[in-house]
Amino acid sequence: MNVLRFLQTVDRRLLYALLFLTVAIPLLHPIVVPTVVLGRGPLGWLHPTFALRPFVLPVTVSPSTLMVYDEIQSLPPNSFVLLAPDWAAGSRGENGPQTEALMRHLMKRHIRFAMVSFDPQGPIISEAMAKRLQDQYGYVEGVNWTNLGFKVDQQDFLKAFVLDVRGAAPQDYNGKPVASEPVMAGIRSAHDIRLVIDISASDSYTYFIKFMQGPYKENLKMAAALTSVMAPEAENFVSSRQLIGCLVGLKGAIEYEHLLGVSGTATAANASLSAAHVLIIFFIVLGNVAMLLERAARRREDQE
Amino acid sequence: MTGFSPWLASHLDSLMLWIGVFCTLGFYSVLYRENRVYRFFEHLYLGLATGVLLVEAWNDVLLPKWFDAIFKQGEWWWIFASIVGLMYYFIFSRKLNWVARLAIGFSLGVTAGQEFQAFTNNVWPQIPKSFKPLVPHPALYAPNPLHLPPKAAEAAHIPLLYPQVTVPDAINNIVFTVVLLCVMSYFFFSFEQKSRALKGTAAMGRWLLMFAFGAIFGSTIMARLALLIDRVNFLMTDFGSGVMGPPGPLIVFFILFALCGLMLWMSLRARARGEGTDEPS
Repeated sequence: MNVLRFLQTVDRRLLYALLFLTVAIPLLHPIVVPTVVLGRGPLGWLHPTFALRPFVLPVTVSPSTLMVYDEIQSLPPNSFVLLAPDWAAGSRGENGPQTEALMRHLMKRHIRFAMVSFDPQGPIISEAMAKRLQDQYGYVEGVNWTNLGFKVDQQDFLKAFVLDVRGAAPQDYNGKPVASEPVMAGIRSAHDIRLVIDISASDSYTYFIKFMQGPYKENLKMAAALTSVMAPEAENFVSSRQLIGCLVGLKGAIEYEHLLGVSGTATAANASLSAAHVLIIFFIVLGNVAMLLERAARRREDQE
Repeated sequence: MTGFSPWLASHLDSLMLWIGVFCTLGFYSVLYRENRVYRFFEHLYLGLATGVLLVEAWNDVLLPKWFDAIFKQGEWWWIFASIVGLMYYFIFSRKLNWVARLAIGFSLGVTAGQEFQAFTNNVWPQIPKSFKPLVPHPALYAPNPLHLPPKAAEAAHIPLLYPQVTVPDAINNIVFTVVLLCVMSYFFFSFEQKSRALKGTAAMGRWLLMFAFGAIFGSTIMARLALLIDRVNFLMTDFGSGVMGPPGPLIVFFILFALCGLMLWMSLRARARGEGTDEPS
C-alpha cells in the first residue's frame, strides 16, 4: 500500500532528474548494444565474436514529410524557393533542426532560395545557419541565397510581394539592393516562385495560404515545418492539399535528415527523444496502475 | 562593439556561450520552484526580445520604407503614414479620443475586408476536398472514343478524371467522413438535440474531439522534450566542447548531474521540514 501511495506522490523533481539523465546520456555517448557475429576461423570453423555496436534507432518516414522531400527533389536545379523562417530562439529545439535540414536539401539540389521572416529574431538566426552551411555546398550569399530580412504586417506585405517581389522587398538584410543580386534574377512576382516553405512556431503559414496561394497563383505549392504543438492544426491543410506536406516538430526533422542521408542536429537528438518518450509513457502507466491497484485495495478494505 | 576592445573580439564566442549557460540554468531553476533568479532571466529574455523587435522594425522597415523615403528620396507623401500612426496616440486623451477612433476604424475596415478574401482562400478549398469517394474504383480517365484501359490512357496522356481509389483508401475515406459528420453534429447548437441518432453522433463527436485534444497534448509533450534536448545539447556539446575541449561534455554532464542531486536533496529536506516547495516565492 505504501509503495502504491509513493508511486502516486513521487516528487516531480525526481522525474525531472530522471528525464535529464534519459536525455543527456544518449547525447553523451551513442547507445551501444552487444552483438554476436559469426565468423570463420583459420580452419574454417564457425566461431562467435562479441562486439559492441552503436544502436541506431529505425526511422519511419511519415507521408507528410516524404511529400515535402519529394517536392524539393522534383524541382529542377536553379529553381527559386521562398523560405520563411518565422521562428525565434524559444522554438530553436524544433524549428532549428527543421530549418537546417531544409536548407541542406535546397543547397544539395542547387536550388536558389530567399528568406523572409515575420519574426524579428528569424533573419538573425536563419542567416547564421545559412552562413554556417554555405561552404559545405559551395553556396554564396547573394548568388545562391539571400536574406530579405524581417517584415512587419504579414498580410499586407504578402499582398504586395506576390505582385511585385522587388518592390515589396527592395533590399536585403544587409542593405544591398535585391535587383542587383544574381539570386533574384528573373524573380518578379509570385508566379516565378516554385515553392514556399514556412518554418514556424505559429499559424503564420495560413497567411501564405490566404494571401499568396489562393488568389494570385492557385498552383503555387506550399509546405510547412511546424512545432509539434502547431502541427495538428495543419493536418486539414495537408489533407486538402493546400499544403503539399508538413514537417512535424523534431520528429519531422529527424525523418528529413534520414531521407537526406545526413547526420545533423536532429539525428543526434533521435535517441534522446525516443528514450524520453519511453520514460514518460512508463511513468504514466506506472502512476495509473498504482492508482487502480490502490483503489481496488481500498475497496477490499471497505468491504471487510 | 568589438572594435574598441580586442579582448572582447577574441573572447566574444566563449562569452556568448557563458551567457547562454547562465540563462539556461537560470530558466531551469524554476524546476525546483519559482524563484527570483528565474524571474530575472524571464524578464531579461522578454526585454531582449522586445529590444530585438524594435531594432529590426527600425532597420528593416521604418528606416528604408519611411525615413529614407522621406528624407533621402523626397517621397514626402509618406508623412501621411506618420500622421495616421500618430492619430492612435489620441486614445490617451479624453476629449480627442475620437481622432484615434478614426484611425482604428479605418484599419478595422481594411482588415475586415481582407478577412473575406482570407476566409475564402483558407476554408473553401477544404470543403470540396472533404467530399471523398467512399467506393473503391480504378483510375478514370476523361472520356475517349477508344475507351482505353488505364495504362494505355496514361501512355496516351489522356487527362485523369478521377484518381484510383483502392480499398484502404476507401476505408480511410469512410472513417474521415464518419468523423467529420460526428464532430460537426456536436456543434449543432441552434436547436435542441432531441433525436436519438443526433444525440449519439454528437456524443461520438465529443469523444473524437477528446481523442484529437489528447493527440495535440501528446504533441505538446514532444515539443517540450525537443526544447529540453536542445538545451542539454547546447550545454554539453556547444558549451562543453567549445569551452573545455573533448572532455567538456562529460564534465558538464557531471556538473548537471550534481545540480540535479542538489535539487533533489533540497526538495527532500524541505519536505522533511514540512515546508512546501511549490509555492511561488
